[in-house]
Amino acid sequence: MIRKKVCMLGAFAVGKTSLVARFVDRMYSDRYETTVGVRIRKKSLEVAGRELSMVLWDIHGEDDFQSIKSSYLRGAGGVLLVADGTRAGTLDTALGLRQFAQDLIGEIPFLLLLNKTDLVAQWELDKGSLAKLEEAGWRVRRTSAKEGEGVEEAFVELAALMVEP
Amino acid sequence: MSMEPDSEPGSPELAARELDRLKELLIGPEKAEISELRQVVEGQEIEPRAVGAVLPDAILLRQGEDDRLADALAPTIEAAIQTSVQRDPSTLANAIFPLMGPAIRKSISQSLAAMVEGLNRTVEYSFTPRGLSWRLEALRTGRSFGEIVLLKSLVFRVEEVFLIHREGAILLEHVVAPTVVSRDPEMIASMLGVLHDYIHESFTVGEEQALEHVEFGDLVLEVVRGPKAILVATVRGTAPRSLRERMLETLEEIHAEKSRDLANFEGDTMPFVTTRPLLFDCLEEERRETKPNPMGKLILASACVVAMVLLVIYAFNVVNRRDRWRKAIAALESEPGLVLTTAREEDGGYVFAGLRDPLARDPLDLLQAEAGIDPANVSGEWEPYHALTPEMVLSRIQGLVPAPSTAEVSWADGRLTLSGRARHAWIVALRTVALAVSGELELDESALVDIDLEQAQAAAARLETQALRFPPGEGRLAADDPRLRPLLDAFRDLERAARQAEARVRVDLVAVQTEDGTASVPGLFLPRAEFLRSLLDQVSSGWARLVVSEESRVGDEVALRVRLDPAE
Ligand SMILES: Nc1nc2c(ncn2[C@@H]2O[C@H](COP(=O)(O)OP(=O)(O)O)[C@@H](O)[C@H]2O)c(=O)[nH]1
Ligand SMILES: [Mg+2]
Repeated sequence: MIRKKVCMLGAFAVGKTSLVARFVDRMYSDRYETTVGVRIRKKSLEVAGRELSMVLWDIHGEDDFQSIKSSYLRGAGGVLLVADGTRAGTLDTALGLRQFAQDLIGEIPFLLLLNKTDLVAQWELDKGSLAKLEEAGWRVRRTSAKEGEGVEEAFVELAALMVEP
Repeated sequence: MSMEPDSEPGSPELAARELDRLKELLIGPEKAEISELRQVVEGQEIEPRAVGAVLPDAILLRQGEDDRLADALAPTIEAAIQTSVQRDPSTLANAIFPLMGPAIRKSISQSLAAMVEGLNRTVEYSFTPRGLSWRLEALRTGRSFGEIVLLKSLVFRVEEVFLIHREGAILLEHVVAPTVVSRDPEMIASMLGVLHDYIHESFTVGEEQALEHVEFGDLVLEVVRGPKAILVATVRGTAPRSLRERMLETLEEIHAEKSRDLANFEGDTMPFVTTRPLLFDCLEEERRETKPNPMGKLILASACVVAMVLLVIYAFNVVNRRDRWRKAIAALESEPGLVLTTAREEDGGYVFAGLRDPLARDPLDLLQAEAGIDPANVSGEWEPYHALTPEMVLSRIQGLVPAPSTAEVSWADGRLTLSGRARHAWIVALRTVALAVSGELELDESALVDIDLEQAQAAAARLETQALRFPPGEGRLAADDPRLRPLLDAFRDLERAARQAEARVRVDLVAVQTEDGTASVPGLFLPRAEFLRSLLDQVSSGWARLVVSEESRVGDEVALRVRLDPAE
């Protein structure tokens, strides 16, 4: 049995809690609850014939990532950076958080999730900067916690990265 | 060689001077070389590599001699440690963690033990807030104070033990007490991690004051920390101090054994499976007993002794009583003429009741003789009845019809057997009574002689020998004929005995041929028979029937033939 801590990182209301709920409970709610402090969920899955238990730390989203405690990230085996496709600013926050995390705990597997694909008509993300990130080796995935699109795949991909980097 | 004037020959001064002179002569040229060499050596910088080569051996050698080396090195090492701690305390802490714990615990365990003892006493004897609140609770709930203490302080149980890696608060291993239902240990581990960090960061406490003890109602989390992992126990009830010690020991052992796995941990929990036995050892469950006060102990001990003595007495009584009871029942049940219908113990006494044949033994006597039960302790009514058991029948018969000394009544093979000799009247009475008493009874009289019948038979035999010879041609005998008297006596005896024996008697008067063959004169028999009959009639009680047989008309003798028919 392998246990890995996974941190959800992203600006507030990008859909971190929703993504975790979708992945763990296969459920989605339009209700927005501010996550206070940290919420921990767990999901077990099989990766490459081994049992992996993902302990998902859903850190409450804040624009001011300085306030994120180092202990939240410590020991993390992987990170899901989340940005809200309908709010361009959230991508910047995600990039900042990524830097912050790297400074704190070094290189660990991560994915960038562009959430809310169901609202793609309202998207305002700059395609050019995304392409640049992908060129730099970033794994950028599109998800919709609301409709479930790409959610499971994203978590499983991260799981695989953590077990066999 | 000249002598110095102020010196005595053989004095020390003289000897020393002479030795110097001798040295000068012998090694004068080399002496200069030696002092040159010394200058070279002393001015030389010592080569570090050369020292390094000899240093370990040198230290070893020196240590063997005295403590001066240690004394010399101590300040330096102390300074080095201080510097190390200032730079990064965890380096040193990590290194000595497995050793530190036992040493510290040892030194504090004694003072701690004394303190705990004192605390127990306080709780026991004085009005501490806790004791007071327990007393209040006792008053409120109507329970005894002791019961409350028992509930509150005697029991604890470690329900779960978590081994958690400090990096990321990831659960490494987890054990649960048998009946406990564990709820998502991985989550709990992470929560604990969060809680831990939260407290750590919020209150900027040092490593040593970090989260140790969290209470949720009556559930307590005991947390002990190591450099790489923490060990958490969930405890229901009041955990003893020793639990933390046990946990610390366990955590140290795990750090010692798994140092590499802990340091290189990347999520694989497999290597920690082997820590399960250690964790299981932390699943303590205990009834802690508060120290009872010494007087209480004494009272308790004497109460125990008294209780035991009472118990022994009681057990003895019970056994005794049981025994008497068994004996009483057995005696009453086996006694002929008694039918036990009720037997019970009541108010310390006994009640026995049933049916009692008037001829049976008194139950009270029986109980006293057979079971040692005082008649004063016995109550119960005995209804009279007639038992039909052979013994009772026999004794009842014997009571009603006492046997003469010549006869005997016994019970054998299901028959009532009469033997010996007895009067007819007794026999008849016995038969009647026996029948009346038993309803149906087989009588064996084959060995019994009816005395009356016997006498009748004897009389009859006597009578039959008394044939009367009439003088030829005579129809009568003289009234004073001497042969008449015995004949009449025998007849009287016959009648009397036969009457007693209830035997019917028929006496036939017959003519008998005389031995000399003289034929009787025809026609004389009847007058002769009538003559004899009239004589017999005169003495007869009327019991016997006298019959004159017409057909026997030969001979001059008239004889009497007796037929006795014993009663049915
Ligand atoms: N349309 C749409 N709304 C979403 C999606 N994911 C989250 N939301 C909504 O966005 C809001 C914030 O989501 P939440 O998961 O709480 O964001 P968090 O603050 O990052 O944890 C909620 O009202 C969600 O219903 C999505 O994929 N599509
Ligand atoms: Mg949230």
